[in-house]
Amino acid sequence: MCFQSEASVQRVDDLALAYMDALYSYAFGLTRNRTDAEDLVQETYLRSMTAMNPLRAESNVKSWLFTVLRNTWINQLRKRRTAHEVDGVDIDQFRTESRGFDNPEAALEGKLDREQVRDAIRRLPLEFREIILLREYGDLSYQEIAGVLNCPIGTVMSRLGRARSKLRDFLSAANSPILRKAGI
Amino acid sequence: MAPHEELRVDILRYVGDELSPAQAEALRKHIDECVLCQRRLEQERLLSGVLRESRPLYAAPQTLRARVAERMARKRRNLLYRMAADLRSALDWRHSFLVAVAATLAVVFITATVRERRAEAFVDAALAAHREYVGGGLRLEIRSDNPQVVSSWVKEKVPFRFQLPSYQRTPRETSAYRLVGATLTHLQGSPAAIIAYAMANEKISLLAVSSESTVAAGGQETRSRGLTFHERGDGTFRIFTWTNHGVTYALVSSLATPGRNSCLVCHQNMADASAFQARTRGQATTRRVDDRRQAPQLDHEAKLVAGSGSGRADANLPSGSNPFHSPKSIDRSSPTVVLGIRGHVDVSHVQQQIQS
Repeated sequence: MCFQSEASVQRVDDLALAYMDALYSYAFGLTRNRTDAEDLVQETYLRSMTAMNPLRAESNVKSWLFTVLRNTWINQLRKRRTAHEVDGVDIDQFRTESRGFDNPEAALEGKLDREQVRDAIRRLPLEFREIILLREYGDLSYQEIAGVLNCPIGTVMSRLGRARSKLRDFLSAANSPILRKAGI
Repeated sequence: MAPHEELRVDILRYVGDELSPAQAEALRKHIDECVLCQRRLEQERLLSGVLRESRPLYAAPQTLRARVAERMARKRRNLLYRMAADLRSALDWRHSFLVAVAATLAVVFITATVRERRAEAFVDAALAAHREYVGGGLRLEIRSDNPQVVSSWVKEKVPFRFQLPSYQRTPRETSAYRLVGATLTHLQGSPAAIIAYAMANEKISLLAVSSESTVAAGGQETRSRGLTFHERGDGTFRIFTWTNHGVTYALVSSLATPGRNSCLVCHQNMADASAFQARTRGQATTRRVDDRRQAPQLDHEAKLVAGSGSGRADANLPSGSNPFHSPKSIDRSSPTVVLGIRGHVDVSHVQQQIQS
């Protein structure tokens, strides 16, 4: 029997909720569907809460959440047999939820730039897509990514290099102002 | 230094701050001298900056955030409630276990106490009857030295099976003890029989009552022939109590009389009588040696009795057996079994009697 203090449970819950944007981004990158992404995130939190040990979770709760999310998604895929692919994404929903900008022009530019990035990431193959999401939006280390994907760290490094190269190509092809500004 | 293509990964790790200080320093030295790697480092940094600027790529909807927070809180409450319930259950189980143990111990203690008090009351009744007999105050309702006559008289008046040892004494046989008679009394509202015996300077009484009314317990225990005898003394008299075939007996004699001698009340005309008669001949100093020698002889006697005793014993009992404590498991249809049991039991009985 494991007795946990209410305070420690609450602390881990708060910590876990702080990663919701990163988890949601990863979930959306995997499912490409808003409803499925929300369900996946919700299921991830509920499962993690049951399985996580607060005494050791605080140090590694983030990679634990990403691992649970990915495993949950794989299980759902197996149940459905086929992945639920969605061609389009409702852009408006994200516009209202994105960070605001003081300068309307900058805000518009930022939204457009973000949408170009989303589009480029969406076009990546799944294995590149998820490694970009984990590294660039989940802030996971190479070692943590290797744990989530259950593969060697060398594979993580080489796959990440190829994913970034592909992403750069997509963004260049889109002639993104932000990339032009950055000289890519 | 590694070729430029192989340095792609190192540059990526450098941008991601994944290199060790030594590796980072070595790469910086190379980059300072390599224009191609400088360009690649710049590209990676720019791309990382673009991606960082696009964070969060997708912001979690507020509705999702609220829903997850609410469900986590609910689940946490359930979890805490379940843990508290588990804790209560564990405590309840321990409490119930302790209560059960305490109740069991209380029942055992009370049962033992009640049993001991009933046994003491039986002994007190036997002693009171014997004192009355010794003092001449006991009025015997039947006077006879014939066991069959006394047995028949008692049997009609008590609710339990009663049978004195029956034997036919030859003219030359002498007995250490003589049956005097019997009378009835009541113990705890239950009919009981007092059997009186006498010798030249000694009186012995036997109190018999249904074992439903009393119990034999306490004192010094001696096991013999599958029965447990309880011996105790009150300073003047020695009392043996035992239970057999639903009847509880108390045999009372003087302390001056060796305990085993009183057993001759029943055993003097039986197959194992010699085991008790030996001590009546004043051979106290050599008893242990004599009893050891007697052991095989007892076996021999038992065989003789079993083979020819049909005319000597009560029809309801194996020949030569004692109705007061005959072995319960005697197989009357198999002399071999009877011999085996009796031969073995006789020896142990004698040895235990000597020790007592």
